[in-house]
Amino acid sequence: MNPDITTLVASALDISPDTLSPDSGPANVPEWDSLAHVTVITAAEKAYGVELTVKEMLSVQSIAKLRQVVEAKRG
Amino acid sequence: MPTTFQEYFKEAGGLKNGPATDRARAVALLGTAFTNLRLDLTEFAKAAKLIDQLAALPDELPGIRRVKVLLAGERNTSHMGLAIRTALTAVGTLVELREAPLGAWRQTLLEALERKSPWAPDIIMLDPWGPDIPGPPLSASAGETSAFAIRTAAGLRAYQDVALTIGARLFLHTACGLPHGLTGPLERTLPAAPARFRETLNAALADSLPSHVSLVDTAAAAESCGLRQWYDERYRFHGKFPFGPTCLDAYARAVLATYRAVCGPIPKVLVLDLDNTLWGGVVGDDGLEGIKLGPETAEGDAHHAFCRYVLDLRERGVLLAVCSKNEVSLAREVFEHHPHMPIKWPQFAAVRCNWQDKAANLRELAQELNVGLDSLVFVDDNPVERVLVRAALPSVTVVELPPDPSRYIRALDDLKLFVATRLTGEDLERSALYERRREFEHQKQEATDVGAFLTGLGMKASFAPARLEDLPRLAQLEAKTNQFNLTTRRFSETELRGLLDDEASWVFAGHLSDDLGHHGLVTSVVARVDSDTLQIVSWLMSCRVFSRTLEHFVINLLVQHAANQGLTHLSATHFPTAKNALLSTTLSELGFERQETIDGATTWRLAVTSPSRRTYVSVNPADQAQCGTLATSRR
Repeated sequence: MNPDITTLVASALDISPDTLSPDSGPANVPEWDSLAHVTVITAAEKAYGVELTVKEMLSVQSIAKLRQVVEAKRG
Repeated sequence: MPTTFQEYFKEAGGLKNGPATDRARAVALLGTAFTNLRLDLTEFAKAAKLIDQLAALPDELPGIRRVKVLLAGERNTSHMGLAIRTALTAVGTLVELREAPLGAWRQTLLEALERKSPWAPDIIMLDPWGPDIPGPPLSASAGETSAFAIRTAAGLRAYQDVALTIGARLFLHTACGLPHGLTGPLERTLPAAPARFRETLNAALADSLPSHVSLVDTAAAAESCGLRQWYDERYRFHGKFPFGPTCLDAYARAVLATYRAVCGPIPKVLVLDLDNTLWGGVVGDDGLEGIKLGPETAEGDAHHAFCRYVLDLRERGVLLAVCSKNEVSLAREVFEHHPHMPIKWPQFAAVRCNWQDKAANLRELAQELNVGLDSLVFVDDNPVERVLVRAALPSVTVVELPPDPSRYIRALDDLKLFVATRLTGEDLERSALYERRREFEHQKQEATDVGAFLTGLGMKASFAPARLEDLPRLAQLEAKTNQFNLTTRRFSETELRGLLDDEASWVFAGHLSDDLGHHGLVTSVVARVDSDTLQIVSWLMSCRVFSRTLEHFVINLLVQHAANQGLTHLSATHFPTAKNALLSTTLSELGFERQETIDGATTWRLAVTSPSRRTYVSVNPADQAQCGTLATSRR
């Protein structure tokens, strides 16, 4: 998977990738507010050429979950 | 020069903690990034965050305007806020933005009315439309639908009045169309079908606009994106967003168009290269028959469409000029003899076809047309010429033309440069007026005695208290005049209207005509009575009519007016800018005496007993009665 999903999320949130772990999500990253959530999703959709459903958008509560959703879509 | 957003952003970010000049440069860099690129949501978010950091420091940044914006919307407006902040950097504006909480825009506006917060917005952006806009029943007739639309528009009047009361401008968003076809052709034929109702509603909004309200045409932005793209329904359901994040750039450009149209700066001249810009190929090599222009080839068709777009701009008051490395006789032949060239040679206000460098030519063009370099927009297919002009003349707007001529119109149109909220009679006439001016300059060069020449022009003018119908043109003069502008304090139409009703203030409008034709409303004065003095608060004159002693005519009448009012002096305060230095000389020539200079502003004074100034302009007999009663009647 290219680019690395943590780097992508860090870039979308405009923070350092070092501050993020697979468990990072809206609940524990202050910059990850509701608008930033849309930013993360659109950045991932653009980078990996996928389209998330509304249900998946809501389910993405961590970087690990985002990785799982994107990988499942890409097969 | 940076090319990617990341490069612009990095350079701008590096300047954010520097002195004011650095931070002004950071704003300009973000503006250039927005202008030249198409940003995505992530990039808008980054830019907006940097803008917030720059706006947080209260000091003045050189050349940067600060504006407070209240964003009020029926749905989630947070992505729109990113776009607004970023878009306005393209016109050197640093936005401090606040958003009404979701679902509470009505309360927020009413609280602003009661002035519960010391934070007073300059602009209120209002998008009052939810996903379902209530309309008449499907069976309603065209008349009933129209009446319903007028009532819906009137329902917003209270919120428009809030803006008026607190002295803000209101940017009202239009209602967007619908992405679904439902019953197909029936939706076009039923007057009350939702898609048609929204068009009727937008027309009702447009027909009832007070002068402090302007439309942000989100409906046009949605259509240009495609309604399916605009309404990415996932975001409607996921975050209550009125439109999807991929259309943010189109929304930002709609906001920029309205803001620039209302607050400026608006360029005046479109300077065009010829070979590979207005036609495909090189006329000097390929000949008149060899160039690509017209329906025979796809490329020629694209160039033809671009020429038509340029002509449409001319019709709306934009001046056209040529700057081309060419033999003038060859270039001219295309405009006179090519069957598919829609532009005619005399439709160019000025022409430079030669082999000297383009920066020098652009300087000459600005001088000939009597406009500043920042009034020029330069269009050239050659990237090398663009780089050279950018480096030599940073204040000229250089359009980044893509290699494909079928994208030329889009590239120019997306910049939202020649925007307007009104079309005045002067706009429709402007190009013809410049043709007259060219004739005037020609005659002046031939005449040996300036006095005899000016006498021969047969100039007649009126100078009288402004009437209501003069207001749009007066506001336009305020917004556009840079050189003959005493203070560059720019009154809006709303403010001017207020001054008409103010007992202690006078607003005068001057019209000029001569043997070559009418020049229209070309000069204005706002004055205020202060004890024994008539203070000139604003004095503007169109650059078309400089050096004709019209300024003498104006001051003679003002002196007479002041004397009739029992006043003893005229005064004028000049705030020098990069462009209005000529007023210092003018005031001195008119007999004003320089008084003190405070904070860079110089006050000048003139006794009403001073001898009258020599003028070659006579009072227009048609307006004599009006001028004669200048002192007693107000409008």
